[in-house]
Amino acid sequence: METLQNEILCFNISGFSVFIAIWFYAISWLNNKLTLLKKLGSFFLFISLISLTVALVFRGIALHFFPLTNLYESLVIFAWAVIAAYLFLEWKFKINSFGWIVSAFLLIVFLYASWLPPGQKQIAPLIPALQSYWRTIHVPPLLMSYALFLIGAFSSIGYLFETKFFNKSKEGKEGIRTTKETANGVKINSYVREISEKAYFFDEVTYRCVTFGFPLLTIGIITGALWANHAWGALWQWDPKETMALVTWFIYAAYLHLRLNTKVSGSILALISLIGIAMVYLTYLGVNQFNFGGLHTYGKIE
Amino acid sequence: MVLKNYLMNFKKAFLEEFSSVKLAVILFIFLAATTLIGTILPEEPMVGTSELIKKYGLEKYRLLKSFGLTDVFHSWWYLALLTALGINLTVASFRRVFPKWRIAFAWPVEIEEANIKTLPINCELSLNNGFGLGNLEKTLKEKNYKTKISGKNLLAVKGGWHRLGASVTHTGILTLLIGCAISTLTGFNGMAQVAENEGFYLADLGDKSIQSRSSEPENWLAPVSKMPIWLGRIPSYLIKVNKTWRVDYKSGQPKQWYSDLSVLDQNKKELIRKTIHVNEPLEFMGLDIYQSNWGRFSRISFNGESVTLPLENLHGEDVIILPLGEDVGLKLVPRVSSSVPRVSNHDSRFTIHDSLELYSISADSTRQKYLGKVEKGKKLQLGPLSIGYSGTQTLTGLQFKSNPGGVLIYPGLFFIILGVLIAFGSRKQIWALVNDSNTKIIIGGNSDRAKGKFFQEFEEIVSKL
Ligand code: HEM
Repeated sequence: METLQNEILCFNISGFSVFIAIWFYAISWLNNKLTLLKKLGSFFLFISLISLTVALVFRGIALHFFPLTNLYESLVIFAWAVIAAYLFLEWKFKINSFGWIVSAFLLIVFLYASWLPPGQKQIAPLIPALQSYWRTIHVPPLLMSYALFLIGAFSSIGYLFETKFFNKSKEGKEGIRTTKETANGVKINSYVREISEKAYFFDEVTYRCVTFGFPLLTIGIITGALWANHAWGALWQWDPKETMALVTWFIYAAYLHLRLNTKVSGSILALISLIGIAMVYLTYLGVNQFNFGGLHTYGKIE
Repeated sequence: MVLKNYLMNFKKAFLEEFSSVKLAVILFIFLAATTLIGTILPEEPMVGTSELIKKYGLEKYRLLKSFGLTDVFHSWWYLALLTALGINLTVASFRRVFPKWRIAFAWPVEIEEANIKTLPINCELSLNNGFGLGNLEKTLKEKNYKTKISGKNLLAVKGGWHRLGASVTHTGILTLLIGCAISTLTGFNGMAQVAENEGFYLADLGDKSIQSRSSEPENWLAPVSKMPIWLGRIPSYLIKVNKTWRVDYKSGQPKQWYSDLSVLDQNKKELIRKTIHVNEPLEFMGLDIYQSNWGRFSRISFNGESVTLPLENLHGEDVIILPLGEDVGLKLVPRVSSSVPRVSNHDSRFTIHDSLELYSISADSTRQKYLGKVEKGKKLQLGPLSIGYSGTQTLTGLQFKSNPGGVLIYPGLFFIILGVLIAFGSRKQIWALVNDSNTKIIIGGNSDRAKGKFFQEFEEIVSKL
């Protein structure tokens, strides 16, 4: 079947905007006085988000269905989720220092999606097992959680660089007290754990991403189970994709519980977040790429 | 006495050990690692024993099997890890998590000047020109804090609902685990391939004497699997297929499979009737029946043992391929020698395949060798193998199950989702007090979650004063 011209145009605009955003973000990152460039970076990411949304709408109209039927569409929605998650976090927590990494990563996703063989991109009818509204409930939360975990992982890398990996000398046991003066001359003492303010920030961003992502992952896994129950009559079949999602879930549950203990070093948490993202990769693409088998093989590249 | 002491100590140590979050994290990591191994290694229930023996060789297969590595998710050590997690969760929930409910709504406790100065964020403001706790209270109220002033002390708090999240999630997981246990003990499930106008008793799957009479002399019932029930019993329902059909896309690919089913009681009285399709099951009194597959099947016997095999479409021809080794196989082709006029292409109910042709095939060549032909109801001797053929017919693949733990599983899943959603948030507390000499206000604050955002807010509040 045909793929739509309009959709391809929007997809390309989106990819190109991401490409431009990389440069604006990168330059503003190297010289953090250039706030205008950073804003332009966000602007282009925003354009990318909009045109990607339009591309998805075109596809949805052609399919008469929410466009989530193959690997290509899944990647496009994943890219959408990464942009949306990043822009949200940038607005809410000012995480713009990794704008360039996120945009560069997005570019890879775009290139990968357009590199996919045509068979993976066609607008094709669904096989009986996949025709269900459950699909639209099950997959988007998962893709959104992957996007958040990804940004969390970038932040963990930032943390590890900032603290010179496991260099203990910088992470002394004692906390640092810093004193800030407000405009009207009041001195505010704050206690910033045992690490630099920047490292502290990275740690917190990862934590935010995990607290946003974990509920979404949980919802995704559970709605998946409910769908399987509806379609195949079993909630859980120990299918590789299911079990990989469970592995990911255990890792982030470990992260959340470790975080309850304030004595656990940030490096360990950062490391767990990185293991987590590796598991996300295996869950999302690895299960099919490395041929673990199972029922979820629809996105396989032959 | 000694024994009692010993038991008390044991109980204490047990509760201590199993209420620890450290243990939970260790279990999470172990479960993640073992689940990963289970994902990567092929699982026996999924791929079948012969596949594993082919892959590993018998020796290695036996060794792996003895370690549970051929079926990780049903191995004793995986179950042990899950059980440990369950115990850990139960003990920790009651000892550590549920008691924290109260914190969600409690007021912070008043603290002294010296202690405020050790809070993660704090400052001092001098008291002059009418400035007092009232001003601070007003600013805090603007920021949606709940405030309380008593004498020289001010307490303010915002948020706290999220502290319920952990309790709700943990309750959900506990409920889920109990529900799964109940389903495993008292539930049943199974699969059957049934032809139109035929049926089967749930409780007596496979017992020919009590099947409903079919229009065909041959009995098509082919139970594929049945899970034992450990407690309770399977209801004596008869499931009857009134009609079954398939709808295609224009391209010829299957679009949907349908089965019109009735559930009958012992006296053949109809209890419920419904047309099901994939994703649209029949649900009746805790029994669910699903459309799981659909197709044409041939009933063939090998040395007297009969099997029902699905036909696959190979180059436009409906055939059955039986692999016999690495690269040789048997191809079975049902042949039509007489047929009543067909209604549509895919409605093969009216086609009578009254013979079966046999070919040997090999993977490396397109050549095939004709071995012989079996008439319906007859047998053919091929070397040591006797092959019988009893015909080909369209069957609908039904899957049925009863899941009594569902009443706990579903609320459990709901509470898990609800809990993880609630758990999101933070509780911010601010203490302020006027010092003894009435010269200064000391303000300090804390947040139980990400502190950066709270510090910003604190600075904003102080700048506004
Ligand atoms: C198995 C043993 C477990 C133990 C000992 C344990 C222990 C705890 C404790 C002590 C808390 C803190 C409660 C509070 O501060 O109010 C907590 C929070 C939490 N637990 Fe568990 N837990 C376990 C299993 C699980 C599992 C399997 C999950 C699965 C999702 C889970 C999800 C959560 C969540 C979402 C929170 C809230 C986290 C937060 O507020 O950051 N727990 N757990």
